[in-house]
Amino acid sequence: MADKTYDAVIIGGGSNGLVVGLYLAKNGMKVGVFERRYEIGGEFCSEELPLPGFLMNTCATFIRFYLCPAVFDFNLKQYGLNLVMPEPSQSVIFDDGKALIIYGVKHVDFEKRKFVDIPENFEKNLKSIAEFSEKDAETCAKWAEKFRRGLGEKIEQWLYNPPPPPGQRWIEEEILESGEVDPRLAYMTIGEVAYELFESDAMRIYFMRLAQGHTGSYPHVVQPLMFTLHQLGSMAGGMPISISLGGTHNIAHALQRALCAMGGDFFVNAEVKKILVKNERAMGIVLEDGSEVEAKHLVVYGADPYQLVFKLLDPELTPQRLRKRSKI
Amino acid sequence: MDELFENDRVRTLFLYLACMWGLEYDVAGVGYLVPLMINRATHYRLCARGSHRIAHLLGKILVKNGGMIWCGVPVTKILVENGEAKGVELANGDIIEAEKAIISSLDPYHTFLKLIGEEKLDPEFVTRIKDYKWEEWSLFVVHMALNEAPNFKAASKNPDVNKALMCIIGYESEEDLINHWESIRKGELAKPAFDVRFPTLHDPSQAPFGKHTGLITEFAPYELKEGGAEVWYKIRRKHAEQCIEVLSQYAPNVNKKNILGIYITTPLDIENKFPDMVKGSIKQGAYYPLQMGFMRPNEYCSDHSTPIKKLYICGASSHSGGMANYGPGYCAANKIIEDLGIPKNWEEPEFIKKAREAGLI
Repeated sequence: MADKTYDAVIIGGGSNGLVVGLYLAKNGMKVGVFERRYEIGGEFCSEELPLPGFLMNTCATFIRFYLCPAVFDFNLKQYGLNLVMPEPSQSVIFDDGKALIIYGVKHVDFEKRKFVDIPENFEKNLKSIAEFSEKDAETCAKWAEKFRRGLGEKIEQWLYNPPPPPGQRWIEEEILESGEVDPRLAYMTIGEVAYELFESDAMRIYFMRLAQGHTGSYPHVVQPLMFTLHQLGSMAGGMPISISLGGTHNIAHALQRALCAMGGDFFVNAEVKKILVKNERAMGIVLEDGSEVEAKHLVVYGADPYQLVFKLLDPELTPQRLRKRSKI
Repeated sequence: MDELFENDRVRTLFLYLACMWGLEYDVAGVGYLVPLMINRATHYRLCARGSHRIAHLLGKILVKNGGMIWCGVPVTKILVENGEAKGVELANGDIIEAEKAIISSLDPYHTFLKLIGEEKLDPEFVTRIKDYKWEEWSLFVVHMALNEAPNFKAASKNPDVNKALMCIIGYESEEDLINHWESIRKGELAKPAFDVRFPTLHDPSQAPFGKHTGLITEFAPYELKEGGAEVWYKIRRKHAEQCIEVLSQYAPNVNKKNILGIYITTPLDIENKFPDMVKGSIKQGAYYPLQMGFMRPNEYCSDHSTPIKKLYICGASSHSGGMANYGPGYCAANKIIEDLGIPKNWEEPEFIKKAREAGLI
């Protein structure tokens, strides 16, 4: 007999676990989130370090969480989500005192669920880039135009839709077929893209640094085309970067409040020891303290593959290929 | 203490325990609190997995019952019309209306002077708010991340010393303790003397496997003689090192090699973290006879209602004070429910019933 029963058991109280929990709860499921740490929110954490009263966002700092449909589907603003978006979004400062400065070119209207253009910021961006190279400013204007014509929307679709199996035509292929994008970009390293598109050192540096911050890749790496396009889109015509008012952890609070308001439960200091499996179906979980939680419909796992395959599941239950691919 | 104990060291221990939550050793008229303090001292408990766990549990119950918790945006105003509290205004301009009641858990200074404003209050009441006094001392705390558990020299004779929840160190006589308080009154830092605790001895979940946590808690002045409270920013690390130095004389393995990291909180940091703990006042205001019981925080608000209709107070600056006993919250809840004329859906605990029957309350 289980100690608790839920329709859906979610392992890991990070942002993705919470977003899944919200959608399941909204569809009538009784949801329980189980988190090892002393608080939920995962990378949305804020702590008073190094001095009390001085808030530090120790993991996620600058965010574009407002792109996620969940922000609007659950009206997270009503639950305390409050993002500050300074218009000067990013700057690259050089030692000769010159600086490239990029402004967010869209304003987020939370009430109407709309992104509203700020044309004067786009002009400011082109002017700042032109100080380094007129030609690079033209290139950025061209890319911004492509994004306005639909490339931007395609990237958002790509972010919030599941990838189909290989061989099936998808967003990337649609983009390449449209002729808007040079297909060679898909096979170039980040450094090659930077040199192909820009003539000034400033813009090359800016592009390569964006890639590093975005995907963690060095200039000699070939990254998936969608990331390259995402970065090109953010250069002169980018969405603003935001910070969370009152600290990044406030986003976790908003997610948690929305979840609890729909009857969801969350448990902290609740490390999961095992996922219970019967006839190839996940039946529930066992916590470190020995208590059992039954999952009537499903178990959702929000952490890394290694722990899932080698710690939470009996390795024999998973295909050998999956075990091999999950090894650290 | 002089009345009860003859041995100097025993007196020191009990004087420390009686005063460690904010009593001053020479203030007359609060001796009735001594049995309560000693009772607490002999029933210390540690919250498994950290004190914040209690906050989580309280928060969950609140939310389960339809409540909502907002954070990150401070309240800047309590809106009052015709002597009645109507709602609050937040720093971002949002206005939240309150139909039945507004309950402030802040200190009287913040609740009435900062959030409402003198001009909306009776001058006599304003005087009483301004009379309210903060504690003369606060706490200096050094949290330590340790590679291994402490080993006290004294444990060679009394092994249980290494297992005690709290150890007091640095006072060799009652005189030392009294001198410590006197130096605080002058805004000086005396030779470190403090209590020290090692939570992970009792709850290993509070550190990575096999590692330990410790905290040194020392009485300290908020205002320093030379330069005031801001000087804490400069001397915090040096003073922490002095405290650790004293500790290592008693527990030699708590040394540089064993300490993996420290986190310091000064009296100024306490106020920065909790602005209602004005001047680092850990109980939202001193325990003086004129600020206790019916006078806490003053005769106008001690039953948790206030001269402003629908506005209540429930913080440690109301009866029965601080020290995480939740007394003010419990008493305020009872008062508010009574005022609203709602039947209580909870039972009065047996020990309160008995006290009432005995005519004690």
